Amino acid sequence: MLIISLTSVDINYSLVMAVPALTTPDTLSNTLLINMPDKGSKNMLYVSFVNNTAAPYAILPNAQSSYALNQSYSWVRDETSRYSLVSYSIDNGNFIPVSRLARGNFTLDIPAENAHSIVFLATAQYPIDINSSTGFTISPPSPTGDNWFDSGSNVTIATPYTLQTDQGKIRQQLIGISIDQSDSKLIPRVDSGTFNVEVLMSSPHNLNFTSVTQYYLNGVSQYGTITGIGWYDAGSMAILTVNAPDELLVRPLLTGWEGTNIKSSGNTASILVDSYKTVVAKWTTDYSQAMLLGIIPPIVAASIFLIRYKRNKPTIDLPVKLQTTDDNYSKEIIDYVLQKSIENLDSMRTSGIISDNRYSQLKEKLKLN
Amino acid sequence: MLSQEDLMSRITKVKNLREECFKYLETAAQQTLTHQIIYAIARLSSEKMGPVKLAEIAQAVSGMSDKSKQDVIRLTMEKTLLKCGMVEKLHYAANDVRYILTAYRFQKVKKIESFRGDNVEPIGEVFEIPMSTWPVTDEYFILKSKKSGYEEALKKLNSDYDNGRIPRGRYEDLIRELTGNLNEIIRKIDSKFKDIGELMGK
Repeated sequence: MLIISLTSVDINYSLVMAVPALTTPDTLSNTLLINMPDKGSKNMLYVSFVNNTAAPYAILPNAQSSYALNQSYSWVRDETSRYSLVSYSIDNGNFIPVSRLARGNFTLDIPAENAHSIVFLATAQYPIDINSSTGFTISPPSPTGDNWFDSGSNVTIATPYTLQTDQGKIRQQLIGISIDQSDSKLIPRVDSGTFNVEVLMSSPHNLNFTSVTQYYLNGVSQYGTITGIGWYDAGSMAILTVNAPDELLVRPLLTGWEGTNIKSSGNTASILVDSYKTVVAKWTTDYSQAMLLGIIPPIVAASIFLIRYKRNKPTIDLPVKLQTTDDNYSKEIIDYVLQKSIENLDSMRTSGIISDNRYSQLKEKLKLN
Repeated sequence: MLSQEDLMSRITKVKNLREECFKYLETAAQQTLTHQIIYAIARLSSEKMGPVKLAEIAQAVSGMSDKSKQDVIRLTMEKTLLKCGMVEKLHYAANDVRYILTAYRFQKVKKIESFRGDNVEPIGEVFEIPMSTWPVTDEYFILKSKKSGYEEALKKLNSDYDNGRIPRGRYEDLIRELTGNLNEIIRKIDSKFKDIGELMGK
């Protein structure tokens, strides 16, 4: 029988395999027995592992009252997997779960006055390696708090379709996935939500998500509306179109577009989307029709009148208006609608939804509607 | 000018802010220039229903809009609010630059770096710039008030009919007319202001 003296309680699988390197001559106190000794020693400690996930060993403690047994939370299984400590049993009792940790030692205090048998239960684990520039979450999370998962478990990886790295300006758009170095598969482009993929942890896995950088193309115009505003892949060409309002006398005329890397033709602009940018449609006003008709002076006069008038009259085009009748009751109802509308406005002012200034303007507009 | 949809989207979205940016919104920062700039932009944008010029912000914050005041405001914004993404700078023309808030509702977050990638963890509740400074069009408030007015008028009409104040024929005409008007208002609110209505009605 080979007997080696040890200093402390660092007894685990790797230690057993490297016993000679760990012997220290200073404080020889406990005795490790590499081969299992015959049963019968008064206070012998027998350590074994369910399914032989590590080699059994025995210790003859010198301590009088108790002995601290240390066991690694995880140890190497083979090149691609490891064992993770799950629970232990003392003297054939029930298995007691231990905290699942990736690294470090689990310490168990054993009374030293009698012989004891300790059995450890461990499970195999495989790692998962994920690369995603839009971020990801794994559920359920790793039981050991790292990227290793129990053999046979199903794991769902969720990654957002888009991640805005600069809010409203720059984002990453998910476009593909490769699992375990296979060819990348296309992921349909979606603006929001998450893409989920489930893997069975029967071997190590590698998930590589592919994404592209996108920039937001904004457009502003004093007249009409711009179409084509939105997110575009970096380096792509975008087309913006503005529709010119159809005015009879004083017509807005599009004179061009302002912004970088723009080619324009009429009301359409081609833009190289190489950064977040805002493109501006530039307009001038064409008075020729009005001049021809010789009605500029009346229009100026009318405009002045309108400006003054508009200060009192709202421009809101409400779809509804109660038909006035000469019936007294109808008038009463119309007045009642206005009275209650103003009371509602009052409550919005009281609750701070609208400012005092705005309240006065809105009240006037309500009266005129 | 910005479209109504653009303005609405700024109100409805919640922008995540790291602590070093969120601090500009907090009560403790009320006396700081940055805090005053945020509220000035919000108030002016609400009045103009669009982005505002530097001179207007300077006037609102300091009561003066000379170049030196504008420079102070511009530099403060560039170092803080633009960097944090709280304010957007729009170039309308070479000499026409305007500013607007990117959002009116903010969530303080803590950035967590882990092997699974960067994540953010919200801290506290969503902070809202006061509703009275949200760039909501007059049309919304008029429609909301009218809706309430018509609802109350329908109640009165039913009550008056029950009490025999009006004949059946007149009652039915008015019910039809008022209900039609109310439905049209509701349709318009739902089609144009659904999200904003939910936010302001909460």
